[in-house]
Amino acid sequence: MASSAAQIHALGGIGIATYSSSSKSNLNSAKRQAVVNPENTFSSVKRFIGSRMDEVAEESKQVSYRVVKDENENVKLDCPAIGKQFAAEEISAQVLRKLVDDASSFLDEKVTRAVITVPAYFNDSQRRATKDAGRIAGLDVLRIINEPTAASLAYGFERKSNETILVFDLGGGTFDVSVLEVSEGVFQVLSTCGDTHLGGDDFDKRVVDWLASNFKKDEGIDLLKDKQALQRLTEAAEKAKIELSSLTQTNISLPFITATADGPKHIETTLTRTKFRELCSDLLDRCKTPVENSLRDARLKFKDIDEVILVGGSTRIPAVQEVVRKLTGKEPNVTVNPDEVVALGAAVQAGVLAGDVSHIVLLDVTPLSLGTNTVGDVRKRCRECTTSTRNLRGSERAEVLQVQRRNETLRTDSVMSKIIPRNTTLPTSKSKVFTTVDDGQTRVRFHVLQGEREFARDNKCLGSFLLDGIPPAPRGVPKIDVKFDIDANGILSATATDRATGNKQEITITGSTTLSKDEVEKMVKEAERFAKDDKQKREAIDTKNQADSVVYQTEKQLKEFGEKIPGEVKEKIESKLQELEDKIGSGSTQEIKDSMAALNQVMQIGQSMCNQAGPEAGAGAGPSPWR
Amino acid sequence: EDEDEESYSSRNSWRSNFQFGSVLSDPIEASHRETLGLSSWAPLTLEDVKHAYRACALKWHPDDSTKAEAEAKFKFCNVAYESLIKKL
Repeated sequence: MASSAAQIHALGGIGIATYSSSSKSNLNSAKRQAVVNPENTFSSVKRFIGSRMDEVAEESKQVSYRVVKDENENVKLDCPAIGKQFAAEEISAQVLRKLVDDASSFLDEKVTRAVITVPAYFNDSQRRATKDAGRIAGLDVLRIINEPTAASLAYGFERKSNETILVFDLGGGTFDVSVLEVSEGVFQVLSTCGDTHLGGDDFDKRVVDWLASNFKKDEGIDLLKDKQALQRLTEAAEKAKIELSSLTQTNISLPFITATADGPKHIETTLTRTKFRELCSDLLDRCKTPVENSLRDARLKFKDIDEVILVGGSTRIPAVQEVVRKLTGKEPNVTVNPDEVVALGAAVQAGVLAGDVSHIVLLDVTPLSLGTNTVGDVRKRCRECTTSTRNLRGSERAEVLQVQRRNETLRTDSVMSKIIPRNTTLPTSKSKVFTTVDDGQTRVRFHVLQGEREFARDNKCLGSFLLDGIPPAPRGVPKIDVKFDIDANGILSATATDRATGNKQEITITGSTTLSKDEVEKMVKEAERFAKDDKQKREAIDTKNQADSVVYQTEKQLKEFGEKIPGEVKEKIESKLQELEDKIGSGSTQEIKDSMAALNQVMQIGQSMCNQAGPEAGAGAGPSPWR
Repeated sequence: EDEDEESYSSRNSWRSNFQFGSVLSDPIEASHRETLGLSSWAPLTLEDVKHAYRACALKWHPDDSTKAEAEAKFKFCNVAYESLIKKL
């Protein structure tokens, strides 16, 4: 048990750090690669996961690779180098697999289970897509948890005091705000809010646009159309942004950014902190709304907040810190490492789930409301309908009766009726009573919707199901109970029951909307095969290296002790050695291994003879020729 | 109409605590108090409700408890907490 927990800890720790923030070790080589090979280097994939093309139109223009859509309007990432279109899940899976391998070799144990964090404001589809990515990487994903909540876990883990904290999490691509109450080991999320399209990448983009527009003004060339130049601009912009966190101005130098008939062109300019703030002023403004909304939802005032915790690399930007300071009237807490705190929190939660950490519980919420489509509240929209809440008895009195159309597809005028409001603590079950809108209506299609928008079609549709066989009755008479349930693992299920007949239909939302179960299965298999290929390749290299050193050792020993063994044996050794050398040049991994074993055998014979010939000589040979 | 009745009953429940000892006039509040393990007659305070809810969460949250009924129990605690906190 202890070892399995350790595995999860490590993965939580390492996994999230690289997965969520885009900095650190192996990404540096990827960034170099990005300049040389922009179309085949993927970055900020998190922005596309579990999304449809129309939801990420803006983002898709900002990346160096080509974002395309498949026949179902889902996002695919084009990789011309191998002529394949990848789902964002597959790319994320590659990242996860690399992290798992690193964690496994660090722990010297196989890592099989993981806790993965996502932005709190991710919708259900994005969460499930992330889970799919984990599965494609061969992981059992124990839980998907929210990044700001994870950060609060790490922050409050060692503290026992009663505090209300606000987590301000501005990462590379997303922005989250969560308000929590931490007391007696209970981490209770009061509210969460965010913007899944705001992050450090947007700040970089502002600098890129500024550089490009200046260049266009001076030279008349649009650098944004040149993928390689764009990649270099982006890299320089990010570097400048980071430097401006400690300096008040920085130089941007991009020699040979492009060339014309007159010769090479260069960029050589200075960016000041003030100018940078001016370029990003609307982004800084956009940080304010989620903070205000999350406090409103938590029914708190700024004075009720004890600590403001900054998470995510972009909170290092002085202008961002200033926004927080001005808005909350508090000095933000910068004691936690903004890049690592989320991963540490994931590790704590992994410990809780593995049973290693007790007396800690995380009460998280659903960030977005869940509901179904309806023509609206009977009392408001269908006064002619005979039903009203007044005619119902007892506990039903509090329920709001909604009316439901039979339509197969979502009508443009249908509105969303919320069943589980946002910021409801999980797990939860909630239900509402619905009725029909037409006389004699026998069937109703329920769409499971997520979002805060008034009209059904503006929200994310997670799935739908049909309730059939309702006995014909005047409109408004049938009563259909619709129950939504989210369990501790975040699995959402919806049930509709016709009270008259007891007829029941249900749907469990298990997959994301972007990949079907079959597709995920296929990708799991494919990834396993690739992993196998990779393993074989690695084995081949390892074997070859080993064989090379065997050859070297044998030659060395033959030189030293060759005279002490009979010519016959020596010849045998020499022929086997030659054989091994040939195999290293052209043979398969197995053949190399076999030759090595054969050589080993004759070497042992030679060694024993050598030992018989004279103990002083044998002692020098050592126990095995190639140790 | 509904709102009037609700505020009336919560006002009344307070009074009845003292007039009749242990019996709450609002059966729903009584069951919610019972769910969280709160006394059925003591005046409701924010601190007490929160403390009781936290204790329930540590006991019944499915992440911490291996008992089969934990999830259902915790959902009841959530409902009770939400309802009681609204009265304060």
